[in-house]
Parts: sequence; C-alpha cells; structure tokens
Amino acid sequence: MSIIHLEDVRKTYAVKPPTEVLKGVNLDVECGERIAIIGYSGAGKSTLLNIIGLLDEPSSGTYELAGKVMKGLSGRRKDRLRAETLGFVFQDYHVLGHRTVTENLELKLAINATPVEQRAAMVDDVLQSVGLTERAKALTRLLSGGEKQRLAIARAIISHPQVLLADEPTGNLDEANARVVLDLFDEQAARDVAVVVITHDERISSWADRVVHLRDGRID
Amino acid sequence: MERFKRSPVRRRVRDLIVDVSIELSSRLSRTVLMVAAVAFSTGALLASVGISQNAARQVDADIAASTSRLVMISVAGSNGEDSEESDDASEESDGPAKSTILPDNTVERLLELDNVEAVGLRLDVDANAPAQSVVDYPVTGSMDVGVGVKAVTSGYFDASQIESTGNLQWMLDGFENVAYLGEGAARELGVPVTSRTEAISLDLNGVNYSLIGFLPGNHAFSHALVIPYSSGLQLVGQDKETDVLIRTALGAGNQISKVARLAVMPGTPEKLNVSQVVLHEDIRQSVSGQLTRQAAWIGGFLLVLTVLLIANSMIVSVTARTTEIGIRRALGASRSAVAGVFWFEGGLVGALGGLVGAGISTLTVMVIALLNDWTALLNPAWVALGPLLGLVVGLGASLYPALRAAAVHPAIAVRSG
Repeated sequence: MSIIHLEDVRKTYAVKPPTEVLKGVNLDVECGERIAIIGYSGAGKSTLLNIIGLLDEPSSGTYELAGKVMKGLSGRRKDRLRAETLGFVFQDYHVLGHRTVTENLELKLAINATPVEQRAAMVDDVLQSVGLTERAKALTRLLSGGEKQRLAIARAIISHPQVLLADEPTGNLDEANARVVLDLFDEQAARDVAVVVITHDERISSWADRVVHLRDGRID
Repeated sequence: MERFKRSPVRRRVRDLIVDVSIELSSRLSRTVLMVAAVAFSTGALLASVGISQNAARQVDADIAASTSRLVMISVAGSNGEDSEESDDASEESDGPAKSTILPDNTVERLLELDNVEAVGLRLDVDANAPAQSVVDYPVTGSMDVGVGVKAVTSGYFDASQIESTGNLQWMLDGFENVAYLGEGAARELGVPVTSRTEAISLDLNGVNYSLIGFLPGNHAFSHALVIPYSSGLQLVGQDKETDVLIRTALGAGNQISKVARLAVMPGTPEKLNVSQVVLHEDIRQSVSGQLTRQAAWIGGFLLVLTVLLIANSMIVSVTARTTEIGIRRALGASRSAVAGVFWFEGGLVGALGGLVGAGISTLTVMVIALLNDWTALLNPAWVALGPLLGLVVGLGASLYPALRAAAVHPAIAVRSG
C-alpha cells in the first residue's frame, strides 16, 4: 500500500484572477522509496509539497496519507498526523537560531508530546546519527550551513516519521555536505521511510529511485 | 495505527514553560523592556493609591485643624456663687436646691450669632447626680444601672446630628417627665422598639417617665435614657457640668469659638471654657475617597497604556517570528498550541512585571512618605495584588497577538524566511 496517494489533486488560489497551480496531479509513493520532484519555477512544486505535508489543502481530488483520507479530517488530527508521520527539511534550514542544537530537537519532541524521560536518549541518538554530538550545546546560529542542515534533518527524523519531505535540501550546500545529506536520506530510506525531495539539483536526480517531472501543474 | 493520544496536562504545561522560558531568555532585551513596562504601570497604580492615602491623611489633619464645625462651651470650675446668675432656689419641691451659672436663655443668645446652626445643652445625670441613677422597665421588671441617664435640650440632637424617632423632640425643652431611649439601652431593658410609644414608660429612681421616641444608631446616647434638660438639672442640682454644644456653618468654628463666651456671659466670659470639637469623618472620607479614586483613574489609564504597549510589542513579535510560527506548525504544533505560546509568554511577562511593580510601589510610597514627613501607609493587599494585576494585564494584552499568531498560514510562513 502506498504511504502517499494523490488522485486528481487540484489547487486553485482564490486571487484575481483565480490561479490554478495544480491541474490534476496523480502520484503514489511507496515506503522506503526515494523520489525526486523536478520542475521549473512556478510549476507547482512547493504547492504540491505543502499539500503532501498537510500545510495546505487541495481544492479538489483525493489525498491519502498512511492509509487515511485527509478530506474531512479535523485540523487537530491533521496536526497530530503531521507531527508523527511527517518530517520536514527546508532549503533555508529553518532551525531556530536563538536556541541550542539540543533545544531545537527538544522543541520537536515537546510538540510530539514525547515522554520527558525518553527525550535525552532520543536527542543523543539522533545527534550521533547526523554527527553533531559535539555541537549539542552550541547555539544554532553559530553552526555552519552544513551543520544547520544536518540539524534540520535530525529534527525531521528524531520522531521516526514515515515520510521525509525535503524542499531543495542541498540548494545551499557544497558537494561534501550535499553528499552527507543524501547519505542521511539513504539511511532513512533503508528504514522504510519514504523520502520525497523537491529539487533542481542534478545530483539528486541521479540519486533518486524515481524522478517525477512537474510541468504546468501536471505530472508527466 | 492509532497514535492520536494527547499528552498529559502536566507534561504539556512543563513543555510550555520550558519553551517560553527559552524564548524569553533568548530575547532578553525585549523581555526586560516588556517586564519594565508592566512594572512601571502596576507600580504607578499601586504607588499612586498609597501616596494618595498618605496625602489624604495629611489633608484630613489639616482640614480638621482649620474647619471644625463643632464648638463646646463648659463652665470653668465655678460653683455658681460667683455667677452673674443668682442662685435659683428651687421652685420644685421634689428635687435638691438648684444652682445655675448659665443664663436661662443661653441657647437663644447663641442662636442669635451668625453662622450658628444649632445649639443644645447636655448634662450627664448618671455621672453628676448625688444619688445613683437606676432605670427600671416595670413591664419586664428589668433594672439596669448600666443604662446611662443624660439630660438634653432638643437642640442637642440637632447640634450633634443624632437621629431620633417621632416628632416630640420639643418636649425635651419642657418640664414634663418624658424620655427618649437609645436602641442599645432598649435591648438591655427589653423595651420593644416601636413607633408607637404611648403605652411605654420607664422609671428613673422610682419616678415614671413616658417614652416619646427612640435613638437609633451607634452614638453617645445608644445606651442611655435621655430626659429633658430641666429634669436633669433638678436631679443634679447644679449646671456646672453642663456642656453647651454649638454646630456652626462649615468653616465657622474658629470664628464662633472666639465670640461664644461673650455672647453667653458678656460680663464674666472667663467663667466659661470653649473648645472646638473635631468630628469630620464625612469630610475626611470625602477627601480620602476622592484622592483614592483619582489615583485609581490615573493608574487605570496607565494600565490601559501598558496593555496597548505590550499588545503592540507582541504583534511586532508575532510578525518577526512568522517563520518560527510556520516551523512550529510544520513540526506538528496546532493553532491553539502556537497561540498558547504567545499568550503564556504575555502572561509570564505581565506577572513578572507586576511582581517588580509591587516592589517599586512599596519603595516609592515609603520614600515619598519619608520625604514629606508623612506616616507611610500601604495596604498589603494592594501590594499582593501586583503580580495578579500584571498577569491579567499580560494575558489581556497578548490575547489578540496570540490569536494572530494562530491564524498565520503555515505554508506561507515557512517560505517567508
């Protein structure tokens, strides 16, 4: 069964004139699959990622995540589903610069209502897996770009999501750091986590199991 | 897979406290400014109330010293032999010989003075009569020597502003055996307090007195039997313990006190003593109340300004933290959880500010009292109210910003950084 199932998903923004960004997208993603979504600017990549990530709702069509139909689901249940099923990695990292590395990770665990006594061990484990153990107490704004992205990935995977969503995760990184990020994604895919990446990066196109081209709101 | 269990309240509260503490401490200057704003406003409110209370006391003392309305005349220790009024051998056969100093028309002489509103004579029979005064209520047989016996003219009620029932006060100026009874004395003697007093009478030392009314309220005659002044004079035998009470127009106390003795005894004013009676509870309460209300209004105005200040600061904060809000939503935080962070943050800042403000107000009131030579007075309940006031201000001010934060669209927010 697909962890992500999109069927004839459309999205129209109610601006003047109304703009249809997604024009009937059909997509299935399996657990453990690495999929790259490629498209020109304005093709609807970010809109698609927001819908898959439950940050936005489709105007029509069917979206099922982990076997649950999203239409009609309450906001609170979507929030919980997003917290427990999805992990986000952004191009600009979006880590909280005024907090330490550990505090960034603990914020995610607090949102997920993880028992307090389990948190320290989970933080240690994930920091070890991304190679940031030595930076645990460092203020995030003092980290390098590569370290910030590794922290963002650590935050995305600390609660063991079933889907990892990444928006241009290597866009601001050099070759070496980009390789580290892709290796971390590989580890997640090996654990049956579906990895969905929006990118322009050719390196990711060649890394992915499947490349999906989004053109003018449709998947080729 | 059913994983929608909500976390325990204690853990959520703990996480909220940790979360907000990190946010506040990481933006220390902004936090300090907001705490200071609440501190100064709650401090200003509490301090202004305290200062006004101290000032009111001082104003009260000043007013009492300058605007007394009650003047008291008493005899300066003479036994009457030197009085310009001759001994008035008793015309009554049932009392001791009467020796008087005050002229019979004392009341009329004083009422002729400008600004005199009421005049009354008072003689405390229970303290000055040769025999012990025993009041007896024949119906129940109650006999209570603890009930006082006072003799007054009708003007004394008016001068001292003691209320009485019925409309027979004028009888106190005559020679009939009539009496008023204080409500406290009525309770002690078992006399029913009623508007129909025709059938009620009391014995004073075996002489029957018809009751013509009661004296409700708490005052000097609450526990006394009040008889006509002439009757009291018969029982005591002399008037050297008589007090003459004069109520003047507001502010005329000083003026009347200077001329009252001459008006009563133009030839020998030195035989009389005169003093002013300070009884200005109504003025004191009025001044104190007005100053306190004024301070409360000023303080309230400052609090409104503070609410606006904090609200503005929080709105700016929400705008500046739009990306963070988007991140929190992307991580799974609900709208209410995001609102809760900002609301709790405002409440915490407010409570801290209120706590500091309470300290500032206490210090300010003490210093200002010291500088002005006042007695420092600050209600501890008001001071304790500081943190609570701050909390309410903080929560009120951050409510709208919190709702705005909750309304931020996460998809837009995560792209705004």
